[in-house]
Amino acid sequence: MPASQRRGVVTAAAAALLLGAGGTAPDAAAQEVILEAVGEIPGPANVVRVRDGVGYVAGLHTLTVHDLSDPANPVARGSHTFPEEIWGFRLAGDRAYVGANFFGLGIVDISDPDDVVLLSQHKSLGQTKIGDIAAGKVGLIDHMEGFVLIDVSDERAPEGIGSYYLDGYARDVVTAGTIAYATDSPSGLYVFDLSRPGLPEPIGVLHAPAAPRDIEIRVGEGDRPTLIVGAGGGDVQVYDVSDPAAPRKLSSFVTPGAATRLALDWPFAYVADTDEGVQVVDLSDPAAPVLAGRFATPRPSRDIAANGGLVLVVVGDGEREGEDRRVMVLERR
Amino acid sequence: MYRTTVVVTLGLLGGLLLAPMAAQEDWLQFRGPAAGVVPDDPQLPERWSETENVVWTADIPGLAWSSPVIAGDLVFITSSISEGDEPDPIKGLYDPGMENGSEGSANVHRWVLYAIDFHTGQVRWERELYAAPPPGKRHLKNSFASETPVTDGRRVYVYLGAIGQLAAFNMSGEIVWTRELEVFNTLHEMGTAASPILHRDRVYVVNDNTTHSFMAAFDKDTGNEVWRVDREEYGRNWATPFVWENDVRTELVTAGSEAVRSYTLDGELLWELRGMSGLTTPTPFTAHDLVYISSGYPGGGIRPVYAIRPGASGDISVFTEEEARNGIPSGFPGPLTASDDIAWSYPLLGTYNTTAIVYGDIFYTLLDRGFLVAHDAQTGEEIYGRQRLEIGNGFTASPWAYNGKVFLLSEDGETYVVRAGREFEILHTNLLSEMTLATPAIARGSLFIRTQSKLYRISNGDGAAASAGQ
Repeated sequence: MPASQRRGVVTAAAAALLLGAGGTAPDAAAQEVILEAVGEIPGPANVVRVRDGVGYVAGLHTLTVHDLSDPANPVARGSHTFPEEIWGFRLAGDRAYVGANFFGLGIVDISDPDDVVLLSQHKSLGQTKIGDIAAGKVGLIDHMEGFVLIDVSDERAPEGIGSYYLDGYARDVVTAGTIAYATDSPSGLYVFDLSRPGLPEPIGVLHAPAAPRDIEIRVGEGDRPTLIVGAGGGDVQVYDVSDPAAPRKLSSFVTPGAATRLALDWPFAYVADTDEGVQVVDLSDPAAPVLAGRFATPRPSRDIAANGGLVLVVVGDGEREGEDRRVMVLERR
Repeated sequence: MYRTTVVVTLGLLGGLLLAPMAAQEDWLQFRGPAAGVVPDDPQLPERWSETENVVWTADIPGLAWSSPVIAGDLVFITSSISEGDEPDPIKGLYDPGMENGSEGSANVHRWVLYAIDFHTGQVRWERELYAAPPPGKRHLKNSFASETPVTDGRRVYVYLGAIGQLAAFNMSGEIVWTRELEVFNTLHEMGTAASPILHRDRVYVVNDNTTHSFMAAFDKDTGNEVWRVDREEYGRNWATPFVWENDVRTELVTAGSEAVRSYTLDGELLWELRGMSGLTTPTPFTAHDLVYISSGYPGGGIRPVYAIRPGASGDISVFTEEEARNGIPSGFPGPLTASDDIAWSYPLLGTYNTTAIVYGDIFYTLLDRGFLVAHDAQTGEEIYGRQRLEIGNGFTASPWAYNGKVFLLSEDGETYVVRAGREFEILHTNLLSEMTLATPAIARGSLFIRTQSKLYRISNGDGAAASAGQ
C-alpha cells in the first residue's frame, strides 16, 4: 500500500468519534496534539525507541536500527540478534543497553547504524529486563537480584559491583546525571546515586503499591532531574524527584484504556493505552495533567517512543507476541 | 526406564536391628505430621552431598515436583513421564514471556505412582494411572504431577489435577477405587499443585480453577463423594488444604487468593478472611494453637501472613477492601497488626511458593529469593529481619527442621543449614547439583530429597555409615 494511501490525519475530534461516546475530548486548555500515520515498520516488534530521526526496534531476539529520514519509508539498517528475548533497552550516546532475558545485559555499539555490534555482556543472576548508564556504571533490572550495578569503565569487560534487592517485580530503570531511578511493582520507586562508591544503596525510596512499571525522566534546568513520569498501573503517574532523597507523587492521570507504557517529548507524554490507542497527555503543569490528543490504533498499542515530532507505536494483539506486532510511524502535525 | 543404585546392602539388616527407635516413624502427607518439624534424632543427616551420607538413590523418570510420602517399608512418589522431549524448567523468579509461560505437550505422557523400597531404593511396584498427551497445560516451572500423594499406611491416595483423577491403591499396588474429577484450567494455564489430604474416613480435595472451583470430601474406602462445596475462587491457588485440630473443634482450613476459608468437616463455612495476594501457594499449618496462613505473590500490593486463633467465626478480615485491592504503602514486612481472632499479622511478609516453619518458638519465613526472616511465633515480634542466604538462588521447597537446625533447600539443590535460634547463622551448605522444587520427606532417621531426576535417601545412620565403610 503506498504511503500516501496509508496517511490519515486523525484529529482529536475524529479520534473521539472512533473511540465512541465513552472517550473524553482533549482538554480545551491543553495544546492540541494531532498525530498522523505516515509509515510502518513491519514486525516482530516489542519495544521501540526513537532519537534524532532514527528508530530502534526490538522484536523478539533482535534489535534493529531504522532510518526514519523519510518517515513514510523507514529503511532497516543494521541489527543484532541476541540468543534470548529482548525485554527492554535504553540509548545513551553511541550505546544501547539491552536487557536480554537470561543472556543478561548487552552493551551494543550503535554508532554505525549499518553495523550494530555487541561489545560485551554482563550476565546477572536472574532475568535481565533493561539497563541504563550513569557515572560510568550501568544499573540494570533483574527479577532475582533487583537493582544491579555494573562498572563499565571498561565497557568491553563489565564488572559487577553488587545489587540491591527489590521486593516485587523490578520493572524499569532510567538515569539522569549521576542518579538512577528504579521502579518495582508493587514496592515503589527507588533512587540511587551512582557516583557513590560501593554497593548500591538507595538514597531515596517511595513505597507505592501502584508504582508504574515503565518510567521516563524529565530533566530540567542545569541537567537536574525534576520529574519521573510513569505508566503501567493503568494510569499515568507523575513524581517530583527534584529532591532525590524524597521522591513524592505529584499527580496521576487516568486514561480511558490501560496505560502500559509511555514516552516523553516534553511537555507531552505519549501513552500506549492498549485498546484505546495513543493518548497524549500535556504535562506543562505536572500537578494537573490534561489530555492533549488521541490517536486510535487499529490494534492495541503496546509500546511507544517519541522524539522531535516522530512517534513510534507498537501495535498488535497479545501481551508479547512479537511476530504479530508492527510499528506505526506517526508524525505530529 | 529407571535405575536404582543400592549404595549399601551389607550390614543393613544388622543396622536396623541395632538402631534405636527413631522418633519420626512415617511421613504420610505433604510436609509430614508437624509441618516440617520432626523430633531430634542423631541419625538424621546434617551433612550430605551426592555421595556423602547417601544410603541410596533412585532414578525417577519424567518430571514431577510432588514430594515423597512414606509408610512402613514403602516410599511413594509420582511422576509424569513424557515419551518425547520436553523443555527444561527454568529456576528462579522471572517473567515467563509469551502466553505467561504456559506449556502444553503433544507427547504421550504416562502418569505413574512408584512404590520404592525404603531399605534398598528399588522399585517394588509401579502403577500407571493414565497415558495420553496432557489434556491441559502447565507453567514451564510447574509439572504435570505436582500434587503429593497421601497415605494412611493401608492405602495411598493419589490426586492429579492434570488428568482429573483421584485414585486409591493398597500397599500391594492394587487399585481400590478411582474417581474422575474432570480436568480444569488454572489462571494462565499454569497447571495444578494442591495436594489431597486425609482425615479419619475421608479424603479431601481442593480444586480452585477458572470455571468451577470446589472442595470435596470422598469416602476413603469407596471413593464415593460425601459432599462438595463451591468456592468463589478463580484458579489462582495451589495451596494444599489443612485439617486443624484445635481446642475448640476440628476444621478444614483452605487458603485462597479471594479468601482464606475454614469449613467444618461437613463443608459448612466457619469463617473467612479476605486480604490475600493475587496468587496463593503456601499451605496452612499449625503450631502454638495458631494456624498460620501466607500468600505472597511478588506482584501483590499485599502479601500477608496471618496467625489465627481457634474459634473464629464469620468474616475475620483485618485489612480493608481498599488495602487489599490497592496494597499497603510500606517497606517489608509492613506494620504488625492484631485483632480478636488474629494473634498477629504482617501485610508484606508472605512467601510466594515456600511455606513457613515454626520450630520452637520461632516462625521462620523463607522468602523465595533467598532470605530467611525470624519472628516470635506467638506474638509476631521480629527476632531478626531479612538475612541473605545467597543472591540469585531461588527457593520453592518448604523448610524443615530437626536437631536444632533449620534446613533450606534451594532450587539449585543446595541446602543451607541454619542454626535455629535468635541469632542467624549459616552453618554450612549441602549440595545436590540438580534442580529441586519438591519439599523433602523425613522418616526413621532418613531424609528423602527429590531432585529433578532422582530420589535420595540420606542418613547418618545404618546404611550410610556402612556405605562409608565400604
